[in-house]
Amino acid sequence: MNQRVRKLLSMDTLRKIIPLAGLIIVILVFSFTTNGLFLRWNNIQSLIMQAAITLVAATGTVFVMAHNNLDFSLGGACALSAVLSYLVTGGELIPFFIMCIVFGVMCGLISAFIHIGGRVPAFMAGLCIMFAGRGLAQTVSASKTMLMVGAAQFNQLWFFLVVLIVVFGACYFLFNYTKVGKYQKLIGTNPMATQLSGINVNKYKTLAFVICGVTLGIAACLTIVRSAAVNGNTGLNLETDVLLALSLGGISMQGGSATRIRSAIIGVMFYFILDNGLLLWGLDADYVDIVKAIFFLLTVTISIDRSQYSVIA
Amino acid sequence: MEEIVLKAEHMFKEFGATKAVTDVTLQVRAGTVLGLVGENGSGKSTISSMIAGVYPPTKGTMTYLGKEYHPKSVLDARKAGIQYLTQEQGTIDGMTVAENVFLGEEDQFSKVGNVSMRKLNQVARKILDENGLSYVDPKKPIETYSFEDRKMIETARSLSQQPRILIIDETTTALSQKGRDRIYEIIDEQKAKGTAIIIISHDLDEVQRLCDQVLIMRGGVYIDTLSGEDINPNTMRQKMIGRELGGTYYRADTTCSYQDEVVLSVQDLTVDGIFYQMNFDLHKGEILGIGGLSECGMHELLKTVFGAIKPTSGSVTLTEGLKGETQLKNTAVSVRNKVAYIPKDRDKESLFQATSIKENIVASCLDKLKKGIFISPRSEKKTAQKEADRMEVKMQNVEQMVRDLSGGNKQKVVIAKWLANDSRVFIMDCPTRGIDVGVKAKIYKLMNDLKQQGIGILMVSEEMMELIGMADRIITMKDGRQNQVFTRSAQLSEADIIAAII
Repeated sequence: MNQRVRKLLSMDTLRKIIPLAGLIIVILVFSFTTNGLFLRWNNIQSLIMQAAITLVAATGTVFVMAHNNLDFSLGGACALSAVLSYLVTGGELIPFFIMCIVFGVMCGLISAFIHIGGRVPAFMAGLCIMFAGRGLAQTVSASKTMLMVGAAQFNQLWFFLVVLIVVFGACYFLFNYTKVGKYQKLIGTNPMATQLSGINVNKYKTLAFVICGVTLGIAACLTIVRSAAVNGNTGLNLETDVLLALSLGGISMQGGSATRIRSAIIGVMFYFILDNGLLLWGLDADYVDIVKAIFFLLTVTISIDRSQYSVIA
Repeated sequence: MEEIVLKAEHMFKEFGATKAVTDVTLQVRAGTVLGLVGENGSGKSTISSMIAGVYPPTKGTMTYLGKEYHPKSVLDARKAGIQYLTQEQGTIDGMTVAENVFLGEEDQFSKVGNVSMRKLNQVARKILDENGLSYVDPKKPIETYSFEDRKMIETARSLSQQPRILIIDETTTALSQKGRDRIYEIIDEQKAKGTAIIIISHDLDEVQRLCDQVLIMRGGVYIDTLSGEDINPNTMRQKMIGRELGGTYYRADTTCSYQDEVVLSVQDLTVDGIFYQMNFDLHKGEILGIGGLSECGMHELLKTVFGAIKPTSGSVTLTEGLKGETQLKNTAVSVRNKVAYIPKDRDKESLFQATSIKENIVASCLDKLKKGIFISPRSEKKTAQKEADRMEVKMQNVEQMVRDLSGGNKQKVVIAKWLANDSRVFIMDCPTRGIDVGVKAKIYKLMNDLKQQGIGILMVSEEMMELIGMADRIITMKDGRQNQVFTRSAQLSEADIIAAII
């Protein structure tokens, strides 16, 4: 009995349940303290649609994080894909969607190429894509209005839910039941041993960036569906939203076998519910960010996997 | 009798559900050498780690120089005069030799927070000279020196602090004969100075030579203390395993035997600066040994044969690959064609530590398990369970983390991984390094079984007896070049091979 209690309260277990427990607590607190505003159908609906974009992008990012890389390109890459896709297709709906995904994959491939070919950490490549993408989007949108009125017809809950379920379902399958996902975790744990086990590390790293690019492209489509226009701020802060959400979801910061794809869903929900609830409390938007930062620090302090930081002597 | 420096009484240590040490009592006397002997996972490293302050005991008391002793950390124990040398690297890359020597002790050189590098280098120079390391430059980054030199620098650091107790945990395993001799000298010097020494080693001859007393452990439990004439490899082996073990555990036959068919052919293989013009064929059912000094290029040779290092010139050909004759260009091609590689550095190069035994075992054979692109968790578990059982891995279940296993069991997992992939050629680099006799015997038996099945084994070893005991042919290497070939026979002696490699 004693031992079971001790095991339950051990740091290890705590680390695993904190994200989910935190999410449930936040939901309960907001349910009871917002005079029912939080639970209103309208609120839930907009919450889901807001969260969907980040969740789609976060799901693909898990693959990159599992092999111990960070993707910092997301926001800029989102803007870049949307703008380029608009320029290429002239805003025609279906081709626009397809090209968005193509350009998303292209951004992923550029990251992979710089990272593997140039032996540069992927987040550096990502930072460059982020700035370049943002800059391009702002330059183009300054001289051109890129309206996508047709896209608004999809701005409905069912569409977002279908996309979400398909993307998350496919990624869940790939991550847990195929070589692509399994190898990412091995690479994150020990790249040398992975190579010496006969696995082409570079190929599978590149595939992770491709998957991340696909989900990014889909996230870009959803962004355009929601705003019905491409502009300089398309996808602004997507990368920080995704990384913060994944951290809240308890993702392993060094990747590896401890990486779970559920971190994406728990983290993104946590992140947006916190945001939403605090606003419903009537907290000023600027303060919301401060509270979010404190929450973020607390969760990460408790849930981060420190096994790789331990130093003897 | 000499003064008792340290007494550890009724020591217990539990890691979660695992009982690593159960009720062990030991004492060390000034100027004597105590050996700790036991199979992997018998708890000898655990108990010395507790003495060295790596982690606290679950239960038990330690008395050091007459006072109760509770080290809070390794640094704490060091300050008290207990130095701990392990087989792992204890220096930090990216810092200079001098900085490493005074790691954690820089304060003595600082005035108003600014460490005087000049003084630091001067004192480091003196310490290096005193320890026969006059060729080491204290200002150079530590990684310019070989693993062995780094180990020696670390040893010099430990000795410079005038330890009362010196714990040497399998340090010699990773060293060449020259390094070992130096460690033996140090032990003699320290003994004369009145330092108490604790040695952990799998090399029973070494233990016999050095120790005044030997404490035997098995499964975390104290078994016996030997002294005098009782300290001999046979008695120790028996006590460690708890049963009689045949005098020899290598191959019983003494004739060279293999089939005519060549499985792997190495031609003119060269990696500039490391080894040159290597030529040999590995036959079906042959154990081909390669021997030499650690720096002769034999470890890199195996890596190159496996496809992990790109050769400058030459080729490695597998005669019966999936599509006939196949060049082993990279590791993916090798593994797809059922070639296995067991690296020397288990922890760094072959294992996924914070990962389950299951995932380690199936890592190389997912292609075999998948249906379309789907890999079912059930087939993974079944395969892992089957191979782990075949290797008799001591574990709770296949979901257990590999990092919690002992060295010998870790190696069994590595071998299980390659058995799971139905490997037909095995490349083994020091397959029994740092492993106790029980697991060693098991690995030798397995090698023999594989040989009977017609599998070719290419093995590098730093233990001459292992080469003589197992190999059909032994190729010796010297300074990166192929030197002599010995054929298996009862007359072949260690001296023959040593003469060829030095």
